[in-house]
Amino acid sequence: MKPAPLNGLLISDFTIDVLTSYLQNSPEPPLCTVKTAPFGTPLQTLVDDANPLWKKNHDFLVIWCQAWGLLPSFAKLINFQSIDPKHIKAELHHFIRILKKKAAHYRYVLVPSFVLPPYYRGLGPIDYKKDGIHYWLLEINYTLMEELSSLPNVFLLDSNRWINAAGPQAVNPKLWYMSKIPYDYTVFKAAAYDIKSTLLSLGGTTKKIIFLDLDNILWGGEIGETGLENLKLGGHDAIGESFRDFQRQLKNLKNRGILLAVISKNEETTALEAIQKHPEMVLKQNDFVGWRINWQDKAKNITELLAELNLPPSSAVFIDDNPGERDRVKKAFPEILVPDWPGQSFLYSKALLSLSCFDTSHFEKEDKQRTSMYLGEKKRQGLKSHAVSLPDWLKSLHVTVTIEKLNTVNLPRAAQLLNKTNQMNLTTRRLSETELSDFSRDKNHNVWTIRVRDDIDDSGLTGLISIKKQKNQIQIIDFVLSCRVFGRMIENAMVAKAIQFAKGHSGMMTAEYLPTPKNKPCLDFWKHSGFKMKKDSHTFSWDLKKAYHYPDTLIIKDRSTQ
Amino acid sequence: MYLSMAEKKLVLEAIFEAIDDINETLAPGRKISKDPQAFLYGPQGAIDSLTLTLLIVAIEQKIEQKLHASISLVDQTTASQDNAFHNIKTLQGHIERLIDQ
Repeated sequence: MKPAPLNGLLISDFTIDVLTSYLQNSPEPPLCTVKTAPFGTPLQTLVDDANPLWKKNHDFLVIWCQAWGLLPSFAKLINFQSIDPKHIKAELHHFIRILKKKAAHYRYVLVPSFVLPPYYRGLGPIDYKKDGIHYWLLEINYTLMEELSSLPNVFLLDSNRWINAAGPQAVNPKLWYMSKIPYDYTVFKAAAYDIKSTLLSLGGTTKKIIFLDLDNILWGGEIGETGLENLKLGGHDAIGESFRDFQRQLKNLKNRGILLAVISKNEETTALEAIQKHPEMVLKQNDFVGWRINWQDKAKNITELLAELNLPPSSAVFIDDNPGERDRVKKAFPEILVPDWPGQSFLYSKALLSLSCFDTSHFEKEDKQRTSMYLGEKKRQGLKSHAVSLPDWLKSLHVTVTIEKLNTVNLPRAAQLLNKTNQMNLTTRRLSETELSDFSRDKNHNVWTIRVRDDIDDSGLTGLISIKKQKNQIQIIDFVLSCRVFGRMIENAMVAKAIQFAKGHSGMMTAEYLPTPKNKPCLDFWKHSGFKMKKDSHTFSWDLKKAYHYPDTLIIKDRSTQ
Repeated sequence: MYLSMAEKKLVLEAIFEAIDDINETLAPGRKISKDPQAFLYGPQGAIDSLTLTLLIVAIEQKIEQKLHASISLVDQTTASQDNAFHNIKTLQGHIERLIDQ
C-alpha cells in the first residue's frame, strides 16, 4: 500500500519554487505535495488568516526566510544604519508569536536557520563582537532556538549545512538578479533531502539497527588470515586510528539507542576472541545485541537475526566493505538501507556521520538503554527455553505492567512510540505530541500508556491504547506495543484494561485493523485475542456484557484511576 | 581561433549534465529532452522562464569547470541574434561562439 503524500506549504521572502520542485519530484520518500505562498510576503501571509492557502489542511509548514527579509531592523543593521537593537528583538518576538500561533494547526513546522552569504564579511574582525552583523545573526538564531525548544512540533533546521554541501557555487548572485533565487539549485537539493529526512524521522521512520561486517570494517585486515596481533586497529598508525575512530562513532550511536549487530563471514571463535581480547577494541561484545559469524549467506543470517530481535528489515542498515555482499543484501532486502561504502577507512566515520537515517524527533531515557533492553530480552529467551510453558516462564520473570493515563510527563515518549511503532500497531495512526494531547482531552476519548518491567530489566513505556466512546459501542482507536515486549501477554492486558474500563456499558467493544506492509503481527494477535472477527473484514468485536480478565501471569498496577 | 572537436564535445557534455541536474527538479512529463532539435524555450518551448534561469546558470558553471571559460548566457542581444535557446543545437552553437570570442 502506497502511503498518502504529505501536504506541505512553503513560505519565503525569496523565490522558493526550486525547493518545491525538489520536494515534489525527487523519488526519495516521503512523497510530498507542496504549495508555495506568494513570493516575498512571508509575514503578510502568516498573519492573513483569510488567505485561501490556510483553508487546506497541510501536514507541514516550512518558513524559510532571510533575516533581512523578515526583520526590517536587521536589514537596516546590515546597511550600517543606526538602529536600536531592541527593535530587532521586538520584530523577532513578533515573528515568533505568529509562528507559535500557526504551529498549533500543523503537524510539523520547520524553520531553516538564518544565514548570511558565505562571502559576506560585515565589519571583519569585529563582526562577531557586540552589535556586529554576525553577532546579531547568532543572537537571532539563538533566540529562535530558545523560544522554539518548548514547542514539540516545531524544529529549527541547519541551513548552513545545505550551503556547505553545495560548496563554492552555493550562492550565485546571477540567480538573485534574474529570478530572486538566493542559492544555487544544489543548495535546494540538499535542503529537500534534509527536509524529507526530517519528515521521515518525525513520522517514525528511523533506522534502529546496524549490521556490521568485521574484517576491514571494524578493523583493518582479515582476522582469519593475519591473526589478532596483526590487525590494523588503533595504535600509532593512521589506518589503525581511523578504524578505532569508526568504532568510537558506532559506540556513540549505540549510546543514543541504535543497536549494533555483527554479520561476518569468519570463524565465530576466532572473531569473538578478537572482539574480547584486542586491546584497542572500543566496541565490546556486550555492545552487540547479536551476531551471526559463520560462512552462511549474509542475507540468510540477517533474516535470522531480525527474527530473533523482532525487528523488520526496514529498521536496518547494512555496512560492508564488499560491494558483492552489499549487492546481495540490497537485492534480498530492498527495505534495508545499504549505503555505498568508501574504499578507504579514513572516510568511514564521515560516511557514518553523514547518514540521516538515524535522525530522531525525541531522545529519551529508554533510547539510551535500548541495547541493554535487547540483551535482557536475549537472556529472557534463554530462560524461556528452560521453562516448562509460557505462563510459567512469565511468572518466573515477575512481569509488572503499569497502566497510567496519558499525562504531560509521559506524553513525549507516548507520541514517540505511536509514531515509531509499525508491527504491533492497529491503525498506524501518526500524531504529533500536540495532536495526541488534544485527542486525549476530548471527553469521549481515553488514552492509557503501558510500562513494562521484569526481573531482568525495565523496558519502560512500551505500550499505548486509546478508545473512543460512541453511542452503542466503544472503539479501540490506537493499540500500539513495542516489539521489545511482544508475546508476553501484555497485549491481552491492554485489551483487558479497555474492557474493564467499559464495565457497565451494554454495547460492544470494537477494533478495526488497518493493514500496512508491516503490521501483520497485530492482525495475528487480534485473531487470537478472543474477539469475534467479522466475516471478510478486519473488524473485531467483544460483547461488553462479558468479562475479559488480565492474564494471571502478569502483575498489574493500574494507576490510571489515581 | 575555433574550438577543437574535443572542446565541442565538452560543450555538449556540459549542456547534457546541466539538463540532467535540472531535470531532477522537474515532474516526469516536464523533463527537458536531450534531442538536439527539441524545442527548448520560446513560444513552442518546453520550459518556463524559471527553469531556463536555472539551466543557464547550471550550464555556465559546467562550462567553467570543463573548459575553464567564463561565459554569460544572459546577454539578450547576442542570445536573440543566435536564437540561442530555441533548441540544444542552437544553444550549443551560441556557447561555442561565446567561448571563441
